[in-house]
Amino acid sequence: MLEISITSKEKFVSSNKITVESNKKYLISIKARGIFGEQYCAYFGVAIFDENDNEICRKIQWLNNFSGKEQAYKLVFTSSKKVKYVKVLYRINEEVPIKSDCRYMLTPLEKIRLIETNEEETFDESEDYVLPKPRGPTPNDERDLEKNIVWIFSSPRGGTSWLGTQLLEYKTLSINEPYIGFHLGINEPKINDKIVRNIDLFEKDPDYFFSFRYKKIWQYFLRKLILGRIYGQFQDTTTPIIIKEPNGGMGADIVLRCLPQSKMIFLIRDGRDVVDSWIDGLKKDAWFTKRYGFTAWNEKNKEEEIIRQASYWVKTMEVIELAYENHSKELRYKVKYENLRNNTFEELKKIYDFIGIKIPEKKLEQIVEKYSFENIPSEKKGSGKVTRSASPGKWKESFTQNEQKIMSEIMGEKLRGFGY
Amino acid sequence: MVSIKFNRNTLNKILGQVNVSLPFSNELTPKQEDQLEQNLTWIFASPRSGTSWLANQLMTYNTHNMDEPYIGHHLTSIGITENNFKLTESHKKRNAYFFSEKYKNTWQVFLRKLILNRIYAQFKCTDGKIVIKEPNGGFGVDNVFICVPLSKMILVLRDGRDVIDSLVDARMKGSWGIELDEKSVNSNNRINFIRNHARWWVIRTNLLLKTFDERPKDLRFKIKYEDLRYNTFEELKKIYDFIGIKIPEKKLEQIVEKYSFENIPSEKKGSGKVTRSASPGKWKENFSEEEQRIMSEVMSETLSQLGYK
Repeated sequence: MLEISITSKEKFVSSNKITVESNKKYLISIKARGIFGEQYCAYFGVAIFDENDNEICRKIQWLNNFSGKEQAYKLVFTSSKKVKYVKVLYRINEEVPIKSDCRYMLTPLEKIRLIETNEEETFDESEDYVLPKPRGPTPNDERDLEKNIVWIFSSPRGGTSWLGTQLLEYKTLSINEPYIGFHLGINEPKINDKIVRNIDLFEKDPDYFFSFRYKKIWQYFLRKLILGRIYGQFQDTTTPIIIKEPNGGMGADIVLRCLPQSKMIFLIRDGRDVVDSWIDGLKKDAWFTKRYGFTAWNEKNKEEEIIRQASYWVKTMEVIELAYENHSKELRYKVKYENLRNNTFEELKKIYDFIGIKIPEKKLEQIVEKYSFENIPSEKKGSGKVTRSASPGKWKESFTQNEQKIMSEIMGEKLRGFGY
Repeated sequence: MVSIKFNRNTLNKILGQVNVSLPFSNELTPKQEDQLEQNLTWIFASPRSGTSWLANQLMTYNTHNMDEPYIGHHLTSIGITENNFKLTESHKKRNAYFFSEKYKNTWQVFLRKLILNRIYAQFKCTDGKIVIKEPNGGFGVDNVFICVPLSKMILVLRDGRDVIDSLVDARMKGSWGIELDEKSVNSNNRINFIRNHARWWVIRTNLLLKTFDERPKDLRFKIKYEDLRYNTFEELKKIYDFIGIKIPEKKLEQIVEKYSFENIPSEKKGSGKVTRSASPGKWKENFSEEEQRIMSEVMSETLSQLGYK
């Protein structure tokens, strides 16, 4: 037996040419033992060729048995009128719908013989497969799950990691940035100096996937997709699930329209500190540029970067604010980062109340203490790191007068609206 | 699958909420989903590769047409960085990421339902051929076919230099494409525009080719714009064969004639218009030597792989 052990990134392709006569039935058989792998990552079969070396058709058998036991696979096919020869073949992770780490023991191709037969034709069609179907949530599961979801929407660099993945860890599950809001709220470059989302740009076009005309349908199935995906991760419909989604703020309204029974926390931070934090993260050798390979700003284009980040903050805040206003009052909560930073215990207590979790005061104190900025080791915080300074108002030190003026022109109205 | 009829009262009972309205009684059955999926043909390409001509004009015989749903665009996000940042790639190992590898079996099933039911809502049939033109969704091509693997793919390739030439023309001040972009192309930003879009073309083309190679042979079809332009009748015949539509030769001739570039009134074509010149190789006239050198630096390997000299 031939042993094949490959990763999902590797493939195994093997073919052996055999001359056949036209319009005759042939039988081929192999033995195979699937040790591990995913269904529909492999098949054996024959490709039938004409005299010009064109493939006429392919008859296959999926190698879907991963019981670890040896299985005999039989394939009976009729050679066509135009046939010149066939190729007996194996395909693993190549020309198949599923790529998988896998291990097989197989009859070597050179040992396979074609035998003339009168048996009925037996083969699978190459498109004869089904996607593996997970057990999805029932409508009741969906309803319960939706009510236990708490979205934290904000702009990136708004303090959501601290709130979403640290302060709210008590008796909750957490999803740290699924980016579904980002995918839904994807935006184009500026149009007339404003960032415009695809959905706002194209919603009147009925061919656009998320068009207004077919909103009822896509909302219904988008809800199923979001809930099905979350359920796939936790299979838990009773525990509050905190979803930190700062980069998905642009899609907050779309998400919440699909899941109107979920809760939202709108975390607001002074946009000038947000831009300050971005400029720090996007400088040479800082965490963001290193992690994703983005080009750092330089003195020539720093102002451009400030404009970009300030505009993005304004647009994100507009979207989240509107989503907040349209969401049920009892299911929404607004908090300023600065208040959370300066009065963590009291603010956090209110947030746990909002989510519906009773947390003992002692436990709350412990959490606040454990995750205070002051208790982060000095080597893990500071300029160029994900956790930087947590100092509201630091933008005043970081930006020149001109840079402050630029930010004020772009963000002034929105900042005043939030009371900054 | 059970079809559930919703009305406002049942909806309220189910969701306990009034501000979302749900459909509907006609969710596709698994059998209908499969049938619809097999009748979908996605046309992927770089933008400005002739997909409008092919999908919205040449392929209108006995087909339904969906002109740029952008679902492929929503299913990814890319940025040109040293690592050619692609959101779906760079985050796929994170379990929290919505489209993570770990939960692929879950999201692909529900995303498939979303895609198929959304398309069905528009065309109300599962047995007709539906042609979906998706040039701006090219970066999400892999995720599309993860969800609807039984659908067909047509890959339209075009000389990348003509693609860039067409893009530059579209973004010139006063041109049609300027509404959709931040800035017009001018003498200050022209070189950067050309370089950036040349890189986008290379990245997108390579991803499209990779996905194409991984598709089952009977579900994929590759064509060059230049071949379609110069030998429209024969190439189109092959395409109709591929999607499974029998078209009478006379009808095919009529379509080719009706939608030939030469038959478009002169006031509806030309520089600055959506339909411009349909002249392969026009880039040689429109780019300076330096611009041609830059394009060559970025694109030559991919161009040569596609057989463009």
